[in-house]
Amino acid sequence: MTTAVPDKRLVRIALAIHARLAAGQARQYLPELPTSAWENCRQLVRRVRRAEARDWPHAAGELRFELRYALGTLSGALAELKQRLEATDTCGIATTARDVYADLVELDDEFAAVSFDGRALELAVRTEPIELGGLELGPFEIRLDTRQLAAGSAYRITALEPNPCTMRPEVTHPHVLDGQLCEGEGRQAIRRALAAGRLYDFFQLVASVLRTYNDESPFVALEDWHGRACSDCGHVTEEEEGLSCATCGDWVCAECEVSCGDCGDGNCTHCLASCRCCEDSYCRGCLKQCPGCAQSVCSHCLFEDERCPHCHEDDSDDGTADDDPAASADAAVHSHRLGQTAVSA
Amino acid sequence: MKVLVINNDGGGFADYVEVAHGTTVRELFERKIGSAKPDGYLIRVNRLPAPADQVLCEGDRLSITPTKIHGARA
Repeated sequence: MTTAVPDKRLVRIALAIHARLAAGQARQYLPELPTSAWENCRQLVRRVRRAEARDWPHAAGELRFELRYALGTLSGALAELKQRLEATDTCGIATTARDVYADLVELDDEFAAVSFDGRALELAVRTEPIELGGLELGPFEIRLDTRQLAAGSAYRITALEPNPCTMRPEVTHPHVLDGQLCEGEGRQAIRRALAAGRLYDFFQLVASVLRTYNDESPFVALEDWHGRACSDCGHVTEEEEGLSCATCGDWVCAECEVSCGDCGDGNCTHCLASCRCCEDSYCRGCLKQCPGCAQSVCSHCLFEDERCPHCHEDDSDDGTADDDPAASADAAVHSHRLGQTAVSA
Repeated sequence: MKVLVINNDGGGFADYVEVAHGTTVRELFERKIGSAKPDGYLIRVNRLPAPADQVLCEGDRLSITPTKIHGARA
C-alpha cells in the first residue's frame, strides 16, 4: 500500500495553524456574568418591597411590571452566555496538527481555491459560483483569521464577482451584510467547529449557508434584489417599472409618478404643486408666481399681464376709472365709480 | 467499539460513540439523524466520501454535515 507524500506547504501551514489553535484552546472562553442586569433586578425588588410596606399599590404594581421585564433581560443574557460557553466546549477532543493537515488536504479537494496568508495567519477558500433562485451571485471567498477562532468575527465573506442588491449594495448575498454572514441555523455548529479547530467542517458549514436561501429571514429577499423602493409609497418594484423624478432625482414607481401638466416630465409628489386656479399639478419650474397675490399659477391660467385671473380682474376694475390720469388731475371733483340714478323732475 | 461522530446538523457536537461491530455508515447515520434523507448531507468517514453500506471500524471519524443550512437576517 502506498501512502501519499505529505505536501510540505500544507504541513507548514498546518503546524502554524495548530500552534495558534493550541494557544487559543489554552485560554478557553469564560463568560462575564451580567452583574449590572442582576443589580437592576435586586434594586427593583427592594423598591417593590418599600412600596408595599408604605401601602402604595399603584407604585408597587408599576415596579413589579418593570421587574418582570428586567428579569426577562437577565434571563436572556444568562441563556446567551450558556450558549456561548457550550459552543466553545470541545468536549475534551483535542485537534492535532495531523487533523489540521488532513483538513487542509480535504479543503484543497473540496473548494475551487485555498490560500493561506502566513503573515496574517488567514486561511481562505473560494466557493463555486453561487446561484439562488435564478440569481447569480458569483463565487464567494470565506476568509478565516486563525488567530481569532473563538471570536464571533473570526471570518469574513467577500463576493468575488459581486452582484449586490440594488437598494443596499452592502448586501452581496441574502444572508451576508457588510461581509458578515448571518449564520442562522448553522450558528452553533459553526461556533463549535471553530472552537475545536475543525477547519474543514467550518468552511463546509459556512458554504452550506451560502448555498441555501432562507426566504423567511433574508436581509433582502431575492424578488427585491434588483428592485427599488419608491420614495413616495415605499413599495419595492423592478427598476424598469419606475423612473427618476425629473426635479429631485428620487426614484418613484409608476403608480406614484405624476406628469407635469405643462412640460409632461414625470415627478414625485413632493416636487409637484397645484395651480391656484385650475388646481392641476405642475412641476415648480412650470408654475409662475403671480406678482399681484404671489400665488403659484400655471401658464394656462395666467393672463397676458402675467397675473392670475383674480388679480387680473381686480386690476381691470381699477384701470377703468384711471384711464385718463391728466383729466382726473384737473377735475374739481375726483370721482370713483361714478354711476347714474333716476331723479324725479 | 468507539467511533468519533461529528454531527454538524444542529448543535455541531463531536463525541465518541459506542457502536456494535459491523455497524454501517447508514445505520449510524439513522441513529444520529433519524429519518432524514442522506441526500441532504455530506457524509465522510475519515474525511473521505463513504458509501452507505461501508462498515465502520474502531477509531473511525464519521462527520455528517447538512448541505443546506438556513441563514438569517439577524
